[in-house]
Amino acid sequence: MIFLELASVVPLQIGQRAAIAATSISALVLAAAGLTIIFGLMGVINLAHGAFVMLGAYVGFAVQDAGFSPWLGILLAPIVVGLIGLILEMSLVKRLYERPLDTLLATWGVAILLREGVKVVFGTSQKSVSAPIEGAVPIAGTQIPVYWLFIIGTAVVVMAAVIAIFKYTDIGIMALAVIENREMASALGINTKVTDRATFAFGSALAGLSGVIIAPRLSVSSTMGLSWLADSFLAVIVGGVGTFVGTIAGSVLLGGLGNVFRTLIPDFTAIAQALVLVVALVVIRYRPNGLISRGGRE
Amino acid sequence: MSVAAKVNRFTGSPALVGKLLGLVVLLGIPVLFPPSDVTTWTVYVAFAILAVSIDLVWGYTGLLTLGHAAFFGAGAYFAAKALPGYPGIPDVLVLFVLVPIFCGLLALAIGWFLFSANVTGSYFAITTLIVAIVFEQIAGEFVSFLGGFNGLYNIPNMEIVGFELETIPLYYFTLFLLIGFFLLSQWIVNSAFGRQLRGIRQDMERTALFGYNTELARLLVFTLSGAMAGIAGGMYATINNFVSPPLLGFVLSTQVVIWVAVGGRGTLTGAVLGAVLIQFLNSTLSEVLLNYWNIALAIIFILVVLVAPRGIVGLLEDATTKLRKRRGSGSGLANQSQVSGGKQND
Amino acid sequence: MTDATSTILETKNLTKQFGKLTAVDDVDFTVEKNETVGLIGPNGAGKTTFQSLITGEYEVTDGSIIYDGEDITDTEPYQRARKGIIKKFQVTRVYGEETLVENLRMAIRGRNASTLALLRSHDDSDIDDRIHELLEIGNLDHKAEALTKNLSHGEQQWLEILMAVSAEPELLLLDEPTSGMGPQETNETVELLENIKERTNTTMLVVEHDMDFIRKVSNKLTVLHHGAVLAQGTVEEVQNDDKVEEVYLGRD
Repeated sequence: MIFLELASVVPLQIGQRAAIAATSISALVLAAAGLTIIFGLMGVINLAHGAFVMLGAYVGFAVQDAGFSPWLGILLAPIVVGLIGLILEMSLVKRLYERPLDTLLATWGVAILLREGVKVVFGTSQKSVSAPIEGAVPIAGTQIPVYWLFIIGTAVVVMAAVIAIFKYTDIGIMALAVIENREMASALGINTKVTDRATFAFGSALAGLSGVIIAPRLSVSSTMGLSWLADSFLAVIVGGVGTFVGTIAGSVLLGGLGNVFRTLIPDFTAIAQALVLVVALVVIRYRPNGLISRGGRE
Repeated sequence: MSVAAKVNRFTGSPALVGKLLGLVVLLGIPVLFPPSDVTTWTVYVAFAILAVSIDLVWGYTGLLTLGHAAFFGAGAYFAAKALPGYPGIPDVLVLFVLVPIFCGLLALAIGWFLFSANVTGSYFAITTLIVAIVFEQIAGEFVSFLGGFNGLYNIPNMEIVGFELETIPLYYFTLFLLIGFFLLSQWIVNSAFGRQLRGIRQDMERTALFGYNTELARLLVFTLSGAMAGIAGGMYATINNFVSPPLLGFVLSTQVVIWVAVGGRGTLTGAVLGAVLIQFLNSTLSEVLLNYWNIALAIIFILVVLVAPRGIVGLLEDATTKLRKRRGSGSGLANQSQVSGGKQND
Repeated sequence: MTDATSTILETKNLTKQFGKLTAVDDVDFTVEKNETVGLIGPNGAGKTTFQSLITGEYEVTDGSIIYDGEDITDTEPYQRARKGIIKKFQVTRVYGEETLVENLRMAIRGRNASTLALLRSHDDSDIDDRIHELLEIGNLDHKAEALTKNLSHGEQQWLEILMAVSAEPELLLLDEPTSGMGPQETNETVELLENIKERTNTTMLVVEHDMDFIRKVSNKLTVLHHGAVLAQGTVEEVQNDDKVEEVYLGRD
């Protein structure tokens, strides 16, 4: 899982600890943003979400492998993955809106499909993606890679943009209207099918974007999406199903908790992760709507 | 009754014929395959027991459990520690009393935690998934006690009254376990309790309003299923002589769910069929084909979820019903009795 | 004042709030044994919510429910069903993928069997006769082995009633039993309920909009409006009540 990969057991100064925590929280926020839309808002349990993140990372790799600039990868990943999400919605997801467990299963099947497909196309060896920005800056007494700051910055910008889109733009408000009251929205003349499609594609694109942005910090493999899948769902559920602020809170809680547990019991990182999961389980059991609920949701 | 009529009556129940056919095939495995393959088939059978346990909880009661390998793996690890570590305790006691108690208690605890808060549906699926992840991580973490990522080796073969079971005798022992659990599960689902489980799957609240204690029923079936999965895991430990963390994890859990789905959930036979068939195909196809086979299987799974929820068994049942209707109307025999598959007259 | 032991259901200050919305407002209500009480009122008056409080589907915000002398306010829905409170839903909730006979078996086996007894029960011959009798009453026996999802709407409604009756309720709650029915089917439902009343000692609480129907089946009426009791009494008393006329102005 990301918490394990991004932190090390060697004792570090507070500054770098904070930077690591901030980066891992930001990465999770980015990854979970798309799921907040698809699962949190639309209520679609998309188990292919992790695979979308993985695909974004592979787009980044493919672009670099072909000799192009990493920035092109960052541009293309959301487009490619957004398109795949669109195809998925039109072929599969739209038939299963009333059947949540079947959506869960079918999207899991798609996730397997995508993982195996990637193995066929790219082989099974792990890949690496280089960051578009190199170098480090001294902050609070330690050297922080510029790319970490880029991740943090991107997370902030993306979340602000997404919140703004759903709050202030016509498209965003329409999408929310469809989600909250389909019949009313339809009566008002909104094409609910197109809105569903667009919303799902948007969420998928965000997942792809997070994949390509996070990729330089990890090894890219067909199974990398699995930990992002679990972490994203937890962040969304624990934080508050259906609110962006909730997802941020959930990411902070899970990322922060992970770091706290790891500081307390540095020799048992897996136990630390397990504890985080147990906390998440307890939250689900006692507050199924998460910590910050969207008032009025069932 | 003439022979023809007897045969007619027999083939009038395709489900029974199918089951017996499958049984004959499984009984004949050591005859059809060389001894080196028999152990592999024994593993298939052990996993088939896991599949049956999942079908009870998911296919019949409607609780999608995505972490059932946690109980299978718990049984495997328990056996792995208890069998070599305590030579004074008979293996039969470990595998068939202590393991199911341990795994049953785990299932009871988790089940109670979730059902008492009425966690069902997709949240139940997600939480059981998380449970499996946690279990796998814990096993990977405790290196000295649980072998860490490398797992535990050199688990001894099972001994009954001094006789060590391996290859062919072990195969038949495991097979009879499967048959036993299959019959037990059939007995349960054909009872009024089984009807309650179906009611829970279709409309739990409505079922409760008829006076059924649905929370107790779920707890019971989940605990039983966990114990069953645990016994299967314990057997696996003695069959494979080696256990490792993935036996507890969600990859195995979801794999078996796919086997049950493709075979046909809610039929018991489908669980066994899916488990054995897919495992067999998985290991028979060459490395090259394996990737494409995985893709094909994923597509089949998606199609099953979309349009054929009763899986292969369901498709076979539909096909035989259509065949018999056609045969009935074409030959001019009494259609009614043929279609209902009951008594035949000459 | 009636003898306390003949009261089967009593609510005191029964209140249900959903957030800021008060669906049931401080309702004091009694039902005597063997009565048929009609519960009427405009849409949103809280009738269905009230029934759901009795069954336990909803939890009470305030007040208490006393059933046959026992306070059941904090008991689970399945426990209340076992005590004899059985409901027939407005929108039918039959088991669509099962046959009519299986549906009735499900309803019958619920109240009186422990889990162990349920596990051991593999033979339904002891109840199948009764099942076919009931289906006969509802004119459905010829479809006994059909899947209920293939029944017509009216047939499903009757099956629901039969399922509720088969559970041998002491207090039968009916939620709009004639919803979606035409006049002939409505009359047949009246007959069905009268048949049931003759053969059993069931107390009934019927929520309905169809005033004609309610008049024919009820001894007493209670009118709810905005969650509170507007009027109670015999059918005549309620019909002649000024407040009720005001609320139902222009209605039948």
